[in-house]
Amino acid sequence: MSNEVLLQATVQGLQMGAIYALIALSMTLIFGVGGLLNFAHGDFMALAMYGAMVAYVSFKIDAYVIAPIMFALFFVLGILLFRRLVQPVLAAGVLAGAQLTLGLVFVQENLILVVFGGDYINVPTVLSNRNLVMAPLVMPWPLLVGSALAAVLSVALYVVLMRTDFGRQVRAITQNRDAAALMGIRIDRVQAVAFGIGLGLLGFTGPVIVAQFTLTPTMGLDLTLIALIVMVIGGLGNFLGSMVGGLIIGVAESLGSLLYGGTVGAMIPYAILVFVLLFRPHGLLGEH
Amino acid sequence: MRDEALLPAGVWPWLAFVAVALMPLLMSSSWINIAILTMLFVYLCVAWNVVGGIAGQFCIGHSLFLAAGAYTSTLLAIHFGVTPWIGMFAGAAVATLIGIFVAWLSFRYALPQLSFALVTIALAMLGYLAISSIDVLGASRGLTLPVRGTAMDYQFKNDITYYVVILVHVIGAVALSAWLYHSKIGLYLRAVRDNERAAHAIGVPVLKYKMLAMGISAALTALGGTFYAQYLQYVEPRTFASINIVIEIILFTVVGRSGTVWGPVVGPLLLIPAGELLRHQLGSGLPGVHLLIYGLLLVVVIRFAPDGLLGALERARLAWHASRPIKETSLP
Repeated sequence: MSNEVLLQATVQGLQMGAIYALIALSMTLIFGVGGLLNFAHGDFMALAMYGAMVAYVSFKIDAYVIAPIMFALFFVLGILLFRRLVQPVLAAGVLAGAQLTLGLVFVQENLILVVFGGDYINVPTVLSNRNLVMAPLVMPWPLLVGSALAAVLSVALYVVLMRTDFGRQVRAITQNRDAAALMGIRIDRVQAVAFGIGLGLLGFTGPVIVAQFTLTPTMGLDLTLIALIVMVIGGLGNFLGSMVGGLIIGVAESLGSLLYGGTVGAMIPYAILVFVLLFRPHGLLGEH
Repeated sequence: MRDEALLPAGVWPWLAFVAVALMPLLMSSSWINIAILTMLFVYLCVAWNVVGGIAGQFCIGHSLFLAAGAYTSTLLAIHFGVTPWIGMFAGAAVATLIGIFVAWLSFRYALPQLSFALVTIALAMLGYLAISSIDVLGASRGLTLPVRGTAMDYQFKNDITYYVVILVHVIGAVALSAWLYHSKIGLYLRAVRDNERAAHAIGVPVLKYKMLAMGISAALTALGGTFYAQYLQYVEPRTFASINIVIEIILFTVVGRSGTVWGPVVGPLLLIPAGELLRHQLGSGLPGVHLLIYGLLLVVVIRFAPDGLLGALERARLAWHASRPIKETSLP
């Protein structure tokens, strides 16, 4: 196998990895502030992608235009969902919260099935089928733009978490909830905003990478699983870990399917997870 | 007041269950398939509840055990002509080994509470992908069982016989889970669930008992897998190894009340016939409408009764007792 092909796969893997990192980062944000393991994470993103499809088919609005609007919509949706549904259930324990999100998986998969049917759908954008050729690399524009936006957002979120009052509050709650409450942090408000931002990021990411995916009602669970793997590999609740983990998984998946074919490639992220748990159970960047 | 009860309190649920279990035999034969499916899920929920409820370890990997049971007995029947009546125990043994290994893998270190869920869901996905691509296991096409048609080969001409077989499974599993719940093992498991550190501090061998709960749960689930394979007469990954079936098992158990003896029985007993009824009423319209309403119902129950329907019932009963004036005669 030539070096060019390997390089090509690595670059593509890094680009997918940036997208995975953002999905995992928003999951870590939600997990960190409330202990909520959101199994419906990928389904929210799938919902955003279908939203982009509706915008394109009905109103001829391009996915890149709709993405910021989706961010706002999902931010509001996230806060409403947290206040009305998640918060009361989380009061009964993190286990009940996880079970609730399993119920949401069921609801969203079937909502998509009812509204859009079970067919495979591709959503065209202005950048579809265009490539950037930088010999020896050939990069599809949708992936390049999607991953660049994801990387910018990831870094922006990281800066917010590290440098702003809101970010310090989020990190304080992630580290020690009770102590944070005693320091006067409004736990429930920070949680609601974090949940809103988490879903908002999914609302934004969905449309900007829609051209890279074939839409099906069950795609959400696969995205959730990738995000979970990235989150665990990086160390639960570790923001930097989620970003590094995303890149690792992206490259491993891309090289794996190049070298060993599609099915084995799909298995590699899970195998990496098992190995990390065997030898570094607190994650690559986790403490201990 | 309790002394005046006709029967010990533990007997009433059994009587109610037997009454419900006999109903399909009296109804038209079109109900028998729904009844079998319902009882299969009651069985799988009771099995999951041993580790997921009583021991409080949120396992999402039970599709591995279901598949281990179904594929082991089926492969033995196809290649070696071993009757599934024996194959089912081979399947249970395989599942137990996997279960104990997974538990050991996940519980060696005191990881955060929910990492077990992550490990098991990842292993379940790995198992699903592996089964879907390995040719000996039929890959994504699946395997069809050789038709022999005799009871010796766990094949019955009459669906009612299948119903009786799964009913025997259910009764055995509930009896085991009731015994386990009240035994010393059950006390240890519940102590681990309620406060792992405290349980560890008073000398409960936490790792050993988690592995034990996982082993029992895995073995029971595998027996259900063999039954399901025999009932359908074929095995394929989407039915036996996908995560969706585990999500259903967990949701049914939670809606009943996980961690109790009868919660995992009540959940599927109410929900599966209700789901079939919805499908019957709405199935002719848009595909998936009944599942959507069904999912919303599940979410509403979890929202307003995170401790399940039995938990809500218990709270209502306590509230009713509290609201009654205390009678003079009830004082000693």
